Amino acid sequence: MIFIVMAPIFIMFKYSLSDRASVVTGGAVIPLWPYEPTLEQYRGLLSADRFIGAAITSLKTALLAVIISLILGVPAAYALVRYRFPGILVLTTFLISIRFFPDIVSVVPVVEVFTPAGLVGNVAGVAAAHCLLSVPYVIFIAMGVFESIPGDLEEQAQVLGAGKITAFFTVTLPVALPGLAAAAIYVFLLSWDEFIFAYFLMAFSDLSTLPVLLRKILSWTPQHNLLAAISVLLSIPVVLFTFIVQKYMRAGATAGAVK
Amino acid sequence: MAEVRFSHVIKKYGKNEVVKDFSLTIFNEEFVTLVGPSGCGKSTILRMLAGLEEITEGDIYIDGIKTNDIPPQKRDVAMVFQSYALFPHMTVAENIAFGLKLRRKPQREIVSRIEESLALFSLRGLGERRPRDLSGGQRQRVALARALVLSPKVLLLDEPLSNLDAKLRLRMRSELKRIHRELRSTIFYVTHDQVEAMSLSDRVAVMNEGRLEQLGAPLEIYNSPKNTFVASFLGSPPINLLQARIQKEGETLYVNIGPCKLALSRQFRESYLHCAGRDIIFGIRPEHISIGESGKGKPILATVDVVEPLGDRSIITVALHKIELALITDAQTISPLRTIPIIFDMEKAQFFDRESGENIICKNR
Amino acid sequence: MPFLPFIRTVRKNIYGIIILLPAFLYLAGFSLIILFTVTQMAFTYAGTEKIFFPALQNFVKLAQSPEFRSALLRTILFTVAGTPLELLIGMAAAFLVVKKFKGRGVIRSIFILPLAIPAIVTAIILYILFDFPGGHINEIIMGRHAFFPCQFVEYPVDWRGSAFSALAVSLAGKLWRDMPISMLIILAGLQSIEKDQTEAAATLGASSFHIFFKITIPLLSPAIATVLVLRSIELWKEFIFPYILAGSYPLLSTLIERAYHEWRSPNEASAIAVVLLVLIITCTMCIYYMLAYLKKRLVRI
Ligand SMILES: Nc1ncnc2c1ncn2[C@@H]1O[C@H](COP(=O)(O)OP(=O)(O)OP(=O)(O)O)[C@@H](O)[C@H]1O
Ligand SMILES: [Mg+2]
Repeated sequence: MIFIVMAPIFIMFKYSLSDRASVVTGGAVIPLWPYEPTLEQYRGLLSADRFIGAAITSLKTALLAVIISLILGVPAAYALVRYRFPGILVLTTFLISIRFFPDIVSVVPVVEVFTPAGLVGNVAGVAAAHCLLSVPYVIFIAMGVFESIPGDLEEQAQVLGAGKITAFFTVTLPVALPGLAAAAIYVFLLSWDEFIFAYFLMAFSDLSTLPVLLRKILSWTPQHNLLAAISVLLSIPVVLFTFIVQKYMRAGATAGAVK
Repeated sequence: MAEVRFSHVIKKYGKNEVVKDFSLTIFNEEFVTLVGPSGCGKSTILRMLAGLEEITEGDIYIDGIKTNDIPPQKRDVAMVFQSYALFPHMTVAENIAFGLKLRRKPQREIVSRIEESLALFSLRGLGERRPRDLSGGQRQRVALARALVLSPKVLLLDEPLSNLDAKLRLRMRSELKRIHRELRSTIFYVTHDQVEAMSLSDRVAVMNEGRLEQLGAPLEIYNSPKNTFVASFLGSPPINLLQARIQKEGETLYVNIGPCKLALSRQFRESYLHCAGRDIIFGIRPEHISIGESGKGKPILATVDVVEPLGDRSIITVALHKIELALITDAQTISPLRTIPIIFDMEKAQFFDRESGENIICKNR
Repeated sequence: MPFLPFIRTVRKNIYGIIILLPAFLYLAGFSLIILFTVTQMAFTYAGTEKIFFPALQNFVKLAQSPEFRSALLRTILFTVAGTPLELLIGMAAAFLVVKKFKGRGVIRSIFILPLAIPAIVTAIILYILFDFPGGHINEIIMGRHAFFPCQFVEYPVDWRGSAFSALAVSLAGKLWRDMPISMLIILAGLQSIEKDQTEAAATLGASSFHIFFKITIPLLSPAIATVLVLRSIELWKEFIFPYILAGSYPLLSTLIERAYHEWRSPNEASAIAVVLLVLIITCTMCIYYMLAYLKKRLVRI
């Protein structure tokens, strides 16, 4: 199993480092590792406007999605944890389970609605669509974070002279920060490798996020090592962050296991 | 410092009435303890006074000012939570400074006040530590220091000692008493530990199921409990409560417990005369039963069942015609299955109504 | 005044409601707009001269089109084949890493790795591997690799050229990438089973075979149910793998894209989306009730 898990990743690296001769071998024996590993592809990519442009678009989209989802999701999670009014459980379940709504079903109406609103072919539109996916996750993760902070802390701050708002900003928020950072990273990754919304919203524009760029390049039947190199660059931040926030990712992945 | 008055306070969660018609006045500089079994509404009362919980009906006054609608941060009340609620992201000094900073005290004053309170609570040198690097007792003192550095009108303590081990609890108990003496603050203290309540307070309020059962000085409550609940809540081992009947024979009143017949001395005759012929509950504390032939009253023979030595004293359970009784003695030589004579100190005995559980004398007063 | 308690509740929780409102409006509003638009479009028929609403023409047209029918069939097969596989692979991985052994942490991290590779990247890697004529797999089975010099076939296989192999490769990609999620859910379930229970059974003389089927599996059933429900939803709506790897053999999800981009028919795309949505909901409910029924039976035994 380890082999099956690792093999595709190995192949990706191998191709991204391959020189021309190792990829296109006219009948000669193909080596397990490229004859002359080269960073040529990466060098080429990092100086290509198209690639840099897509990377920047991806970055902008992801950051915008992070900001919007945190602004919307964190206060909502706080309210859902700290306030008790009738129907709040149903509401929580509803908000969190919106993430189960199939994205491929919503993508056509989203494009149709976004087109007249001028949200097609730009970063804002893609980020707005990504928020539909990410806000439920933020609510879910942030609820877990706030639940783990005893309400005593805030009440204590109030008794010591802080108003509700001051208590939140001086006590609850600083304590919650590491957990909320995990939520932010989660949203970043979700937006970073999201394909469907980005593709439909950017299919006919010059703007592309990295996954969309990959798809667009694919239609020119490009060289394998170029594809592999972009793939590696796209994966690196995801792999890094995933292991940083593994604990929280697990919670997110297994969400719904307890009903 | 201040005077606190609860006036007919009621708290409901939905339909569930958790606090029922609660009235109590805490005088200036007084140490009042609220005791009662778990879930009887003690914390709720404290939280209403702090402003953390809405009052369903009734009023709370601090220094004669109605505080029902004043938010917690404006009440000038400090509270120490059972969990201490120390802010984990701040050092000890920052924790203590929290309230002072919110009150916009000048920096120099804040520093000197922190120094003072670190000294007062023997926390010197710990100012830069985080709460997680402190022991339980130190955390507890930080929580106290943080509350008291604001010189609040009232200090509220919700089971502050319940998270500490037995030895530390004893030490902090005397510490609290010293602090109260030095700072002369009005303290409202919640606990379910009757020993803490008795040893610390000027007055004790006993609660049960949301109702204030009795209020008074510790010894007053101990010696003349208003009903069987209060009687059995205070004291360890608890008071012996026995089914009995009062009978009049000639001019003398007798208490019949099973087949035993105990004469009441003349001085109580008046008080209990009207109960003649009634079923009652007879209450006697373990320390008011003595072993031996000599003493006031007639000895009865009982069989020793269990002996629990405590060192200086022993708790002894005896069987008196199938009725179990606990008593405390300093005699060291008692062994199980022996038959011993015991004497009830009838002057200290309590009589409760069988139906209502009310103390017959208190009710008459 | 029946409103009074309501107003009091609102007043008491006013801050909570205020900070909850933006997210609620965003999510609920967005979902409503999507649902509304997709239904409206699916039931609108854009004729050459006139627009009809409500109309079933889109569905009729789809039902008659062989492309839609084969896509529907493929989607059902894809899901029916994929869901149990997802479960089995997840369970296998979970059972591998639940036991304590040296290097378990490393192996567990490796097993989580697929989750950290973006789906599009996985699809691209498979694209490279199974390319025609020059893909990696083709080269291996043609014996052109130094480390594996046996030749199975003379000519390269066009993996993307047949419905079966194209979808099989897509499914493999999907399974590869989703393995960690199923594994983590099952793992959470396994870890919540107390050791006492299996050990108690062992002391009562149960064989390990018995323990597995009579104790572990029933206790694991909530986790299994979660995997089945979540994974089947995922498989119904899977897009990226079939889109990149099986472009000529569309599933319903990829057919939506084709209808939208190639046929230029948003209404038909919406109609397919509605069909897909109905399928997902029906299937999820079926699985749910089936599991509830099974659970009842299990308890009775
Ligand atoms: N938010 C709430 N909603 C509903 N009921 C509550 C709520 N808070 C407390 N209660 C109920 O009110 C009653 C009194 O609770 P309270 O916390 O005051 O008890 P307590 O006397 O402090 O008990 P303990 O000694 O265990 O701390 C309990 O029966 C509890 O179940
Ligand atoms: Mg309490």
